[in-house]
Amino acid sequence: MANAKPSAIAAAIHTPLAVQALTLAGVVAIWEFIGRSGLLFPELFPSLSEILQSLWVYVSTPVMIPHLKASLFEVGGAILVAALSGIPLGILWGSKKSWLEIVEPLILYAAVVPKIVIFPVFILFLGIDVYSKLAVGAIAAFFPISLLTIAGMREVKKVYVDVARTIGATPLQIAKNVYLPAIAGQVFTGIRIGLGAAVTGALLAETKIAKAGLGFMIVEYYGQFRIADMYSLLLFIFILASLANWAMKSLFGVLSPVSRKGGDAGMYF
Amino acid sequence: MAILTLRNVSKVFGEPDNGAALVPAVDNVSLDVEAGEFFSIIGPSGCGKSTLLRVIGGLLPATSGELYVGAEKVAGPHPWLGFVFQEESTFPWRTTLGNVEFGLEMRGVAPDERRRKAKEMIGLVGLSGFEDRYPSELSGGMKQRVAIARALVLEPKILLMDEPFGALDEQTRIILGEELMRIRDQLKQTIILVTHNINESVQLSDRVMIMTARPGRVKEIVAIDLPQPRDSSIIASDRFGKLVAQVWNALREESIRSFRQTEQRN
Ligand SMILES: Nc1ncnc2c1ncn2[C@@H]1O[C@H](COP(=O)(O)OP(=O)(O)OP(=O)(O)O)[C@@H](O)[C@H]1O
Ligand SMILES: [Mg+2]
Repeated sequence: MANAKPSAIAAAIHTPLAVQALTLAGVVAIWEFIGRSGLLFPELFPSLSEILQSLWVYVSTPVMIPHLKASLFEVGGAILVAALSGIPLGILWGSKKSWLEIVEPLILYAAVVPKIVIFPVFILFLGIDVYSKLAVGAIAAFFPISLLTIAGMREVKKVYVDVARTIGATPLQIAKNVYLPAIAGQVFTGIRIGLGAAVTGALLAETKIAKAGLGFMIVEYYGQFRIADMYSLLLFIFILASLANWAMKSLFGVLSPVSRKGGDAGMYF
Repeated sequence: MAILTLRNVSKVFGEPDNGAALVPAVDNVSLDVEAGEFFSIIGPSGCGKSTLLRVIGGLLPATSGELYVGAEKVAGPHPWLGFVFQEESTFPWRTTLGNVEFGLEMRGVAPDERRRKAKEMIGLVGLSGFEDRYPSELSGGMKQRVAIARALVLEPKILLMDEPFGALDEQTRIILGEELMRIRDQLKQTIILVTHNINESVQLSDRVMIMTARPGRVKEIVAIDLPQPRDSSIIASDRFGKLVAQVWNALREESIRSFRQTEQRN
């Protein structure tokens, strides 16, 4: 009986949630220790209470709202543009083997180029406002979305298309009623990876030249040496991105009728 | 007048200017299928049965020859034709009802009407109660019933079936064959069935066409004079055995030839 208690605790500790909570507590403890002990530059390790205080300001006052609006507009617009171009193009390219052979290698090569290098071009054409960042985010998101759409198209059974053809369906009907539902799982994954890419692209661009945005504010705080504010903003962005990813996952879970078996690569992005 | 007519239909695969070897798959096939007839096509593996059926269904262009549905010359999918495929073809993202409604939806039939028609057809193929199941929740035989209902709900004048029971076990195959007979009697459905199962072809058909080894030609057409309507108990009769023997006699030589063809290639 004496053994029952420790083993119960051990079992509780072995749940993923407990491990995650303990890890978080550990990181916080180390952070606080470094900050207070003066072991390293105390300025670089503001105390947790300072960071949380600053975070509370973002949440409870309108200071961040214009920046949040700018970044949300950029990332949301980027995903929209990337999905509305990447999915139809992916379906078109993927529907013919000969097109696929031409296009896919090109996209694969272009996909590894860091999209931020095109940012100066977008500044020239679109200015230093939100639109140039939207464009960087859109380009960044376009690649995972179109590539996963193509990957999905490769796996569509030919007989599904034959069924629709014998029924007399038009190419557009086939795209909408056969290809799209058949590749939905892959497209969802593409959109979620694309979201990560769009956030990275847009916020990175904001840190270069901008008037507003979360990435812009990070550099501002850094420039003013407001380190606690900078960390809390990073934390804020991290929480927002996680929430967006979670929301998308739930939305797609509701949207796709068939439960998808096997791993979902998108969950790591 | 025949409901389906083929005149000297041939199909050769591979483009000449592409340097690829030409593969003659179907060679000079002429035939007439009468309205209401159950017509089977049997032949050795790889002889061109699926190719012939795909040409009839408008999924492949014929290299030469003519195809008539009724009096109309056709080259492409025709609304009078319905198709059931050799491989598993139900849409996994649609329920039984959704699958059966698919064609009606594409043809712009109003939701109420298409629900009514689809339910009726689901009943006819014996799947009432399974309307809301996804294909992953159905057995192989049930999925084939869904595919048959999906084609029949559009009221095709001719139902083309490419080895619809090929992937099923022998018992399911016999039972589904029997159900197909019942459906055909009820709808007065013209059916063209591709198979490589001799018993099945004799059990179900009014006529059986035997194809030669590749390139597929018409070798012989055997009239099946068993009484109608039939059920699967017919397979115990003497006449059934005689007809099976007759079909096998015509097929034997071709099967051997086809076997030699494949051995040479390996
Ligand atoms: N798209 C294609 N391109 C080139 N050759 C093809 C093509 N489709 C089929 N063939 C060839 O044509 C021949 C006939 O094929 P088909 O599928 O019609 O045979 P089948 O009688 O249906 O065989 P099975 O009984 O195995 O289903 C085969 O030799 C096959 O390799
Ligand atoms: Mg075949």
